[in-house]
Amino acid sequence: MLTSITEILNLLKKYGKVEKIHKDTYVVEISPGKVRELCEILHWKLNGHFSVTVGSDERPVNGYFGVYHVFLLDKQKLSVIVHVKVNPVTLKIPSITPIIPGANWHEREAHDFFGIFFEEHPNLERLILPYDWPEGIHPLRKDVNVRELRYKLLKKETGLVVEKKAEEEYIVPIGPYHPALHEPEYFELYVEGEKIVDARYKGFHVHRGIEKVAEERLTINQVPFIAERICGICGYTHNVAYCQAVENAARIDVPLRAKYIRSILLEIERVHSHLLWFGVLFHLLGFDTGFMMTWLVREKIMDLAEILTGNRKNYGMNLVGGVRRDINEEKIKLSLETLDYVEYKLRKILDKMLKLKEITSRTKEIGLLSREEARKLSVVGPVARASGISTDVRRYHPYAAYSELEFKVPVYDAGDVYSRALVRYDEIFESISMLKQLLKNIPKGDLTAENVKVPEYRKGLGLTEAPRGENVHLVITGRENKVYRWRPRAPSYNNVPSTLVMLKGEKLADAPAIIASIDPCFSCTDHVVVIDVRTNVKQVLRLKEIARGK
Amino acid sequence: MKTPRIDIFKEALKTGVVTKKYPFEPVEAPEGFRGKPSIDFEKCIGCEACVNICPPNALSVEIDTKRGIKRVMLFLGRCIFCGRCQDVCPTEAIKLSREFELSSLNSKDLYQIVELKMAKCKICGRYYATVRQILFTAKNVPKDQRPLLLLCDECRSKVSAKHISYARW
Amino acid sequence: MEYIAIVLANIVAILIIAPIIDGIERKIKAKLQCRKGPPILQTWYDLVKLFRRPSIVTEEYSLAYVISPYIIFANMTLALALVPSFTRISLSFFGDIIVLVYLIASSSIFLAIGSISSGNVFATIGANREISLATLSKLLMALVLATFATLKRALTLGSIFPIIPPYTLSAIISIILFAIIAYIDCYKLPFDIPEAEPEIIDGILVEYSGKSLGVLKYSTYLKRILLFTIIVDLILPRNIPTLLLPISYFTFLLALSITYVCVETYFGRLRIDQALKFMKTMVPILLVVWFIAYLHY
Repeated sequence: MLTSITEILNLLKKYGKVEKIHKDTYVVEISPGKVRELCEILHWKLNGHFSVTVGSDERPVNGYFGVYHVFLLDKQKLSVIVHVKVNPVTLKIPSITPIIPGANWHEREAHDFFGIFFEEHPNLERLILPYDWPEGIHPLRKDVNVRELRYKLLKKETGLVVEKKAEEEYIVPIGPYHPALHEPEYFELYVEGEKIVDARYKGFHVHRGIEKVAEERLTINQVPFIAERICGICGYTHNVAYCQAVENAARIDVPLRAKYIRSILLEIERVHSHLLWFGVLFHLLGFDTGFMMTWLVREKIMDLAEILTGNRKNYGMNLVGGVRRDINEEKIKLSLETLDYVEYKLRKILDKMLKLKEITSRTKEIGLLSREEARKLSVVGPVARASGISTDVRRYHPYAAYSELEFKVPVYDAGDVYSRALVRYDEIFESISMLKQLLKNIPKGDLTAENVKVPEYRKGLGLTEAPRGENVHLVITGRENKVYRWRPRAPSYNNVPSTLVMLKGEKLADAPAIIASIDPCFSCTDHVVVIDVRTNVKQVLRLKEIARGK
Repeated sequence: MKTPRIDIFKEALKTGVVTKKYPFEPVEAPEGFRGKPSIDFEKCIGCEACVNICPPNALSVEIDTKRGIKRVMLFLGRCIFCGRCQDVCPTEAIKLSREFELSSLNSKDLYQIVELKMAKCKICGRYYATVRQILFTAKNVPKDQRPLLLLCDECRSKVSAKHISYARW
Repeated sequence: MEYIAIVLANIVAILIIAPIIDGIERKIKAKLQCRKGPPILQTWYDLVKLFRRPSIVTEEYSLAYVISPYIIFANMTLALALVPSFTRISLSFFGDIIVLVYLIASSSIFLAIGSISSGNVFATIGANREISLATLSKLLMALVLATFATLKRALTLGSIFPIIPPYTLSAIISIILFAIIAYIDCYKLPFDIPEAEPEIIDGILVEYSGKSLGVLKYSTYLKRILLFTIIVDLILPRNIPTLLLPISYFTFLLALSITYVCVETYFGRLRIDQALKFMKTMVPILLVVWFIAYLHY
């Protein structure tokens, strides 16, 4: 078993050129033939986990397409980026999905956006692009212009109807709009009576092309604001991850006070996000009083965020190199008071609510995800921690001010909905204790780094622990104060495929709670699947119709 | 009987009613809230700093070359209330207020337009900058250099190039 | 003639107060959840709004889907005529207790049939749940009413009410059991399984809209009042002066509805199998009570 960093580096050197891009982060450039071997070692033998695959069109720079597989080795506190250059003519590289099933979506996305073929991928269908998207147009390539594309798409008229064989079971569509889910996604549940036999997922209904906008139009300091809008609940964590990626790429030292302020806001966000989740869970289980009362406490946190940053949710606090607003003594005092109140209140009610019989009987041993499955799908965050995997970016890849804090990482082994609730329950109180430490020990100093200059074509990896799990941003800086490639990977991207495993064999009544248990955050393109139960013909709504606002 | 229900019930009674009859009862945003931005028409000099920095392009600029008018437009429908414009404004003309109720039946209510008079270049006769911008810059420019401000960028560089070449000779 | 006029007046009064009682329940629920809550007349406003809207029907609907809300409404109104409420006068005939059970049970069945014929998947699942719940709850209800009938050796509602005095054990237990069954039958949490909003988007009600939805909702309120009325009738002493009767009836009604809503607020929803298991445990208890009642005489 390899453990020390030097040993790992020596191993990596055997495979290709190793380059340190910033602290604890290495890029190893290898030939396509060796990808699988190395990825297997990184994910399975070294007990790291697969995090994200990023495709990139680097033809203007070096004449190749690039594929980056990012692995995080928690034990060694290392991040390893496996870089493969893809021949722009053949566009083929071996797929790693047969080894790591969790890479399925990531590779399909790279296939959609860059036209890279992953050989031996079990199911290289379209993931994000609609079915009637014209063949051969890959939107994130650098030679694709948004305006031209729009013109082309509106002119073209192709509607694809996928026929399906009739099935014995009933199909229950959950989505694209369903009261149990707060965002548009689509689950097809195949049921016999109340039992779910099979489940399928179709997402990406609201993929907004944020990456393209950021790469084409925005400057480096404008991207944080769009990054914040990736998620409607935990936007700040994306904001921080992006800024960290750029800061890492440009080797900017952020002042300690700014780091503390970032950590404070991240933890505030975590508390309100987890409380939101509890509210949703109680609502799904029909316990509306629980919903109202947890949100009542959450409101205090929202008010606190508003006072500290000037907005309830879009904090807008970050710029590359630091933060924009200070937190003064008065606000620190107020925050501590609010936190005391919130902690007192939550200890009183949340505890009791989790003991209610209807809640326990409908969450214990429901939606099971074993440790093996979790490793296979490379799930992250509370879902992984509830399945017995101790993973937490704050602990193993410390960023912001987390290396100076004392905190526990709650891990439960049961892998059911209830243990996911318990993980979040513990995390709320851990966050509150972290917040108190942060607020009490905040050092004096500057808010932003001096001399923020971003060099061209540098890679940077930004990691944060979002409320839903590990959040990864890979940034390649570009010319003229722009981003060349930016790939944000939200935690739900890795977590959503696990719901399909959890749903099998469960009761229909439990489906919403199971889907919600991963705290899904769907950020997704426009296409709607309508399944006629009698004829079983899938009709796919056309892009054009959606463009017309139908 | 040991039941957590009673405790929750007691806690709820203790908390009392927390919701407000919002649209019929005003809700104040706290100090420092980033609400609707408003432009002080008196202070704006039309320097376009805010237009350049605005992430969602809520601020835009339009130049009427015939009449010599520069229009700085703020469209609240695009605004994300980040406050970057407030950060960069040299004259504190644009500020974020605590107002957050922006819904309106008329989309024109969401526009704030500042029209500023522009000055003609002394040499080529082209409109090149707003009068206020020139006056504002003049404060920071030494007296002997000030006449250069009355020229457009191109003419100024030509003129100053001449000066430099004279100096060299 | 006068007799019919009084019964009609009675029904009209109940038709007016049923949504108001619901409004009161909503207000109390809101207070218990630390909210302000809607005005008491909100339920009426909602109904009026729904009645003004046209009903949108599904593509593959059938006759049952269209008429079942009205049948259920008629059933409920008729059932209300059978039980004494503001006055002691009601439509009374031999075997009206059987008609009452029939009316309550058939409305559940019509609701299920109606929603199945809408052709919606969620409605079908809701109807499925409704049928499995209703068969059991109606069986329980029939058993309790049978116990009452046995206790009083009568098949007319008029001679069954009130069941106490005599204060026998079987009478008291059967009243409590009836109260629980009524609670389940009102689709109060944790038993609002057929129309679970987050799970199956209001289930049985999903394809109903406008007028028909209004009628269905109205019937749900009426059903609640009907079940409450039966409970009130079971315990309201016979010697109350006629003039005081409407006031005492209304007070009891309000007390019941407040109790129920207080209980409801602090429960989550059960899964269908858990609910059925709970109800199945009640069957043997009821059979024993019935047997005791039979011996008691």
